[in-house]
Amino acid sequence: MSIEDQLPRTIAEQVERVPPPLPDMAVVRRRGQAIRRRRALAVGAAAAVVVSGGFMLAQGGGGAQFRPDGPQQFDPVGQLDYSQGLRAFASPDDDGQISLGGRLFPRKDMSYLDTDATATPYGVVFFDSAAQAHLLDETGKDTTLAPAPAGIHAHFRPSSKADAKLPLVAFTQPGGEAVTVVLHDLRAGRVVDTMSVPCSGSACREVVVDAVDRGLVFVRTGDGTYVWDHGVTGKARWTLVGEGEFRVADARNGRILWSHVAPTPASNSPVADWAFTEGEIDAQLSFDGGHVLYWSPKLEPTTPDGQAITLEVKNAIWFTFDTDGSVLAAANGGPSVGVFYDCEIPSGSCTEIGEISTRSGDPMFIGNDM
Amino acid sequence: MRTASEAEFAEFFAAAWPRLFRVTYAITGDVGQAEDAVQSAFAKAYASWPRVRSADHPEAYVRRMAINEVLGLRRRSWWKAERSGTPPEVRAERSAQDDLVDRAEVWEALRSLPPRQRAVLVLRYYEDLSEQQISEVLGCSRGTVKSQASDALSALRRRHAAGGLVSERDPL
Repeated sequence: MSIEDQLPRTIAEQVERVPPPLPDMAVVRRRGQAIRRRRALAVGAAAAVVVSGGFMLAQGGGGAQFRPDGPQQFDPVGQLDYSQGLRAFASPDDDGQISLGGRLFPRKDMSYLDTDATATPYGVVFFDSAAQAHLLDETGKDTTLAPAPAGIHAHFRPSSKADAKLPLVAFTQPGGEAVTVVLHDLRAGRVVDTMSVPCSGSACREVVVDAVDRGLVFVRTGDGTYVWDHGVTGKARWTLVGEGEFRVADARNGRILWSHVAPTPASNSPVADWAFTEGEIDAQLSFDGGHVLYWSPKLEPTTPDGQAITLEVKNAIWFTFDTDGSVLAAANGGPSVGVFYDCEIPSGSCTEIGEISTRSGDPMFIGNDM
Repeated sequence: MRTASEAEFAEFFAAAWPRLFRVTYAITGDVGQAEDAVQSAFAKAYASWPRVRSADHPEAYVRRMAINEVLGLRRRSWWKAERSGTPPEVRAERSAQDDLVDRAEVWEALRSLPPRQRAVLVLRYYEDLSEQQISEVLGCSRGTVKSQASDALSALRRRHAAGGLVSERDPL
């Protein structure tokens, strides 16, 4: 029996084993009414704004409540080499390996690194079990990037993104009835600023950092995507980029790769005159914003006069940008083997950089969620 | 929302909820994620009920919103975490029991696909949508749907073949 013949029955069988949860009209009504109230309110930096799921948006400046007790610590792993990018990838196998900065480690020894982490030129930003953000730097040492969160609510899921040019990373931290967006300068080793986004329940899951570019942080809420400009005060500090289903897939060098619904930036938004390119939600922009990488060795230009870039790599299926702007590619190298390459932009030339086992799934890029 | 309209929405909500939960669950493989996505989609539908109600197919409209909620999560961890850590066993002979095992392995393989590819297969083989309809749901071209489906089926065949379940008489 072919796969196509098996799929309908397979999916139906599996789905019907799980009884749907009871529909809760009260929750839907409450969230829907919040969305309508939100639409009726003007977005202003000085005003608190109700957004979907019971969000209240308040202006930043250290709104988070942090607890003072000690952070989780991770053992030093020894000197790493980030000079050619992090080259961070891993086996999906429990007994497989992680490659980072030119060295191989047993995956079980670095289980805290996964695709939820963010690869930056200064190291991997990752989250511990209490959702506290850490940096694994080039010396192989672990540093916490913010005080331990006051408490993690069940629905919270941390997120982070890094600026391609500036030494900045933005990440979310739980804090009571809020999610705090933290902007951290990795070179200076200090928090630049914070923005508190109060929320409750499952709505906190919807506060996500989707991109950082030119120091601006793109934050998705249940109601829409906003850009946070920490460098200004007043109404331009927190402005709408797109409502509802609008998604920022990536932002690089003044270009926003968007998906689902067209952007509607506020006139006072710092990105109102940026370039916008429609694309898939799991696509990525090159660091100069000139090309789109999307599950293919061919990078399409973002402008009509641009030229496509074809990576010189055979049979590669998985791709992502490394922290130096090159492309990491992975191919099936035989039964249960993934072969990784580092491909230069714009030449497209590729160098094999390692292999890992892939018995139980696809190879993973650590610090990239493509 | 006026009373009549509220009642109309409530009726629509109760009828469509199970179906939309099932299709989002088929994509996520996670009850909580599916429930969240469908609830968010219905909340947005509630907020825009006059527009949703006037659509040609209100349920298809909300289904699109729910699936985009799921895909908007984007984060890979939710599907990575679901994968089986055990490679399929190789079997030399087939039996009726093998067919059941076979479907379980197809399901596991489906769950290991990237979310968008999984969505394409679920919409095609569970919801029985055409390529054109899938492209409208996912907001992409028919060509993208075709290539995503092709890539997804190829990946499933590779995994299937790796499990030793493909006989010579039944090439995939």
